[in-house]
Amino acid sequence: MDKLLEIKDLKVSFFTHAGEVKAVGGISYDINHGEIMGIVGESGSGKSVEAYTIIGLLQSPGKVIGGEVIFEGENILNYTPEQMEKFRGNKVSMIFQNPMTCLNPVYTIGNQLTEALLCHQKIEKKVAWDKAVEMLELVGINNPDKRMKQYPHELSGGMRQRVMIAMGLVCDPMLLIADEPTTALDVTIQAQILELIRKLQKERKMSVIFITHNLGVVAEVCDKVSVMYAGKIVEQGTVDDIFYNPSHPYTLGLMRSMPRVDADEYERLIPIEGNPVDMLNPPEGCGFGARCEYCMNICLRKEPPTIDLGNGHRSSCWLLASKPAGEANHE
Amino acid sequence: MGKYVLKRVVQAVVVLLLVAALTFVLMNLVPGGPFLGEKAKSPEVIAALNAKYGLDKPLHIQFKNYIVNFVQGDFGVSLKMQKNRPVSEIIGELFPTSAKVGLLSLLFAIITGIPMGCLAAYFRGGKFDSFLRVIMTLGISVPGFVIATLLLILFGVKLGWLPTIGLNEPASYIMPCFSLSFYPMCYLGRLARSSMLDAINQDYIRTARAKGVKSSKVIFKHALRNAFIPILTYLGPLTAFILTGSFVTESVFSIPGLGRYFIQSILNRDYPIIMATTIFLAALVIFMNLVVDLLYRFVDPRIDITKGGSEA
Repeated sequence: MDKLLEIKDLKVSFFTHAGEVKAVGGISYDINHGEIMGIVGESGSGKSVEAYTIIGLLQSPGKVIGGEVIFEGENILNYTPEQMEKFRGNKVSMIFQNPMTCLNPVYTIGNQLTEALLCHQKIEKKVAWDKAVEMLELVGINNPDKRMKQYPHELSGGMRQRVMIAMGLVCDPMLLIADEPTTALDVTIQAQILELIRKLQKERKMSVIFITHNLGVVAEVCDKVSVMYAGKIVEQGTVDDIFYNPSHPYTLGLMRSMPRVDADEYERLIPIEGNPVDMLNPPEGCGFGARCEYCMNICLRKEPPTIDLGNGHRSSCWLLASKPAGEANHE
Repeated sequence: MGKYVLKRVVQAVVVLLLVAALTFVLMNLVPGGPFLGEKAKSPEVIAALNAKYGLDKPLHIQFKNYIVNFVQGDFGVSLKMQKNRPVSEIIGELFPTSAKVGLLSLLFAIITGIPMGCLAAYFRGGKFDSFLRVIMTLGISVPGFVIATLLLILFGVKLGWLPTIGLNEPASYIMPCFSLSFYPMCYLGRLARSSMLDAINQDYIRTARAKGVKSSKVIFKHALRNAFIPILTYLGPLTAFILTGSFVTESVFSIPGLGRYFIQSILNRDYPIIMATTIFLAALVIFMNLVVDLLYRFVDPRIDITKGGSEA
């Protein structure tokens, strides 16, 4: 499979009054055609900022300070604003966390859907309208002709998220970035939306970046996973690598703090102790060091190297540095 | 809709009656009267005049008579300023002049003020924003007569480019309209700026940008319409006040308009003119507010005033 998107050592900082916040501190990964990549991490770990950078929605005071985002062989960070406008929503589109506020309340669904089409394709309004109706049908909205003329406040949350998905896919993008698309929805709707994204992804052979802090969702939907902590990817690999063979203490911690259906009835969840890193004054060495139960002296002094554990399974931890590749299991 | 409008009209009648009563009482509480002039008249003459115009009767009878006549379309005659000329005729002559200047000023204020606010919001924090903010702050803090006088001195007297008196040629409209519109223009600009900033930070703006919508379209289509509600709210009463003319502008530029005449009628205690102009202005304000309330629905479909509540 060939690469669709390649991110190389991307660094994004926010220049605030209090100082520089290194929201994304040098991350690299790539996504192949038709692949779903999950990005997990807690709030403030930089996962959304990283996604906004890919689609060019990063706003002041945020700034890319290094690295490359290569989409189909072109570094999109060099695009002019006009090129970026053509790129956004056309080749890459994005759906967001809160469908209740993400649609413009004063325009009809039809207006907002066709707008996406008319921005990128030279087609007549009538054609755009028909395409939009088709798209609504595809995302499972009944009575699409009627919905087209309705306003967002007349639709339920789940329906609005379906509209958002329709809007994201109407130009047939190659990459869809889903930023916590199910977080604001109730559980039954969550499952439906996940299934919908999965189904459309397969049909259209589209790549997806799925940002979430829900590991259950990742296991269900994704092919690959990147675990982010404090602006860095601490571990990445296939879903099987991450779930059956986690190697980074943070990933291990996440696994242990996740409720399981097959657990013993009285098994306690083990939370990760401590607080997230203060991104204004990040500690020296490993960002997770202060919370890590395996923390060693070197962890607090030097940033850990990224160790290749084979087959694209990579982990940044000093614990693994001393061991030869492939023997990274320390449970 | 029709039922709602009817309800509002009934409310308006009550409000107008209260306005009329209050004005009537206040007007009569002020010392002096329409027949006191520089040339002293004998008490007998004044008594005769009072009797002729019914001013000798108790206040509540006078008010009752006024309302009864008013309902029948008789707004009385001028007592002093244009003696015995029907008030309706006077207003009918003066209002169009004020309305013409007012309408031009209103249009100017809208087409400059709102884009100014949008631009300031778009370039928020930058030098251009600071520049516009200085102008807007200046506009709402400098009194109208200062602006009018400065314009008059500069363009009318020093440079001699523009006529200083009356409305005899198209160029005569420039200075009065500008000085009349400067305040509302700046106020609208500030209003537009703050509500635009509010709108720009909403999630749906991010969605629009993510779709690849051009940034100018994001601002003028997606943000402006959402930011328009507070602007519309201000535009209602503004229209009423600006159409009825401004005392300051009309005095400085010697325009025979309603605004100036209204103030003069108060000074002259020309009771029927005071009453009629006040009621006219109040009715216009009420009407404009009704228009604005009905227009909300077209700006924001979530607002349905006829149902007595709105869903956010």
